[in-house]
Amino acid sequence: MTVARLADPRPDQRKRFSCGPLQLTLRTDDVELYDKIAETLGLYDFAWRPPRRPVRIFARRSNVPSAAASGDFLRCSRMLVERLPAGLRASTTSGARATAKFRDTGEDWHVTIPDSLVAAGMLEEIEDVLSLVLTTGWRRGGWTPIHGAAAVKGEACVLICAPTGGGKTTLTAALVRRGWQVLGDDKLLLRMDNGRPLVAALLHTFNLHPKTREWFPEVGDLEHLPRYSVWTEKRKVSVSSIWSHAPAQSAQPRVLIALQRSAEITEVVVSPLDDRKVLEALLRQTVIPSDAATARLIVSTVAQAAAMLRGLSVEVPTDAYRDPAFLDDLETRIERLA
Amino acid sequence: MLANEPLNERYELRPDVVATVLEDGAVLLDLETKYFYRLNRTGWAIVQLFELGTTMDEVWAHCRSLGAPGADDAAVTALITELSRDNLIEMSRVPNGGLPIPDTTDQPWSTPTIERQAEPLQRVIISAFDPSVPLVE
Repeated sequence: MTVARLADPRPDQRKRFSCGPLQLTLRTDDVELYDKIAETLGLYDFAWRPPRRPVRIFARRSNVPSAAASGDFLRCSRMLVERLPAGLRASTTSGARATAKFRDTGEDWHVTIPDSLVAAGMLEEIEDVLSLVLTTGWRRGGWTPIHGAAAVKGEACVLICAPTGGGKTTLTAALVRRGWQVLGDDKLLLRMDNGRPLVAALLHTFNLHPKTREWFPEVGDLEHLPRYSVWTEKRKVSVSSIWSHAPAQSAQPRVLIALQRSAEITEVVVSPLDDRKVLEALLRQTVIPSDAATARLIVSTVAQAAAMLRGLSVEVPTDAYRDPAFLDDLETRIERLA
Repeated sequence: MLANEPLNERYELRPDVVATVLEDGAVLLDLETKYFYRLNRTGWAIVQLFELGTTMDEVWAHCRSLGAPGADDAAVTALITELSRDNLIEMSRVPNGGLPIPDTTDQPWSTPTIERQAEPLQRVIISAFDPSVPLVE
């Protein structure tokens, strides 16, 4: 039997990736695979100060079929994840596999990707696996991943909650144009810090639709940039390349906005959100695996954070930003609650 | 239904029902159905008994010790019925007796409430980061 030695496909400094509080080390002897994984991990451009939790990824191609994971931990549209006694095992629809072994201080992931995925340039399932690697590391490091946006201005920090395609980025960009700073447009980390919720930035890019230019001309022509994924028209844009003042690192949110886009209204509707709805809005922005110990920590953090937040429901018509006068009123209401 | 069960049969929360205590009560999340429930303080004082395993006799005795008026019997029954109907509790595997009842007697009694959120959290999601409903691809 030949045991392949893992070669270093890139100079040493390019093997390591800082993804928030994690220090990822990628080991593979496959340059093409390396590039695809590095493309995703490289998006996390916001380096946290050490110490960082070490996570190691050992990646290789393999076409050897193996059983699909059961999904008893997590069921995603293209990936199932099951619990192991000291780790996790994941399988994707097209045959990518990942197995994690938990250590006290970090995790080791062994990832296999079939040739067909790499050859077809199908990044989505590789991204799915990496998303599991990252969220697992962040959670085990005491952070709760939040699929939300956050902006801060002085003492006022607002968490913006909406499902995918719900307008988080557009509202965040609209606030940034008015002098707010941004922590993220869809990926944040949350934890309780001395009894207050704290949100921290992971990356400073916006996923912007090219038509955003109609409302915010300074974003320029985005059509020439590559699509963020095959499923969306959106383009990934560096925030500071458009609004240099904008990136922020961390803040204590005081207000939560539950954002809804509606084609059935013609004017923006802003109304208070009671405690129950604030909790519900925040719970819907985080993934809660079907593992009691993991879920307990997430729900505890989210519930404690929600209890400290004041809520607003904001319903915007599809073309609201053509006349952004509503933002005057919204800013006033946010500042009053903060 | 629990109403038809012997009062000394023990019940407990299912292991995949996660309870999180809040200042004003608690949240229960059923990891199987992905429904979550808000309990007020008194609701939690009752449901807490099921964390350790309890009988209906003990539940009623505990309610009385907390100062429950007869007028709230219907609310207590409704709470237990909801726990049972939604399968949040099951027959206990712990042998009878020997478990301490949590001391919640310092709490003022109020009518217990349990409120299930209208829509469950998503069971199938986009990715390990994005809990949204998967888009049609």
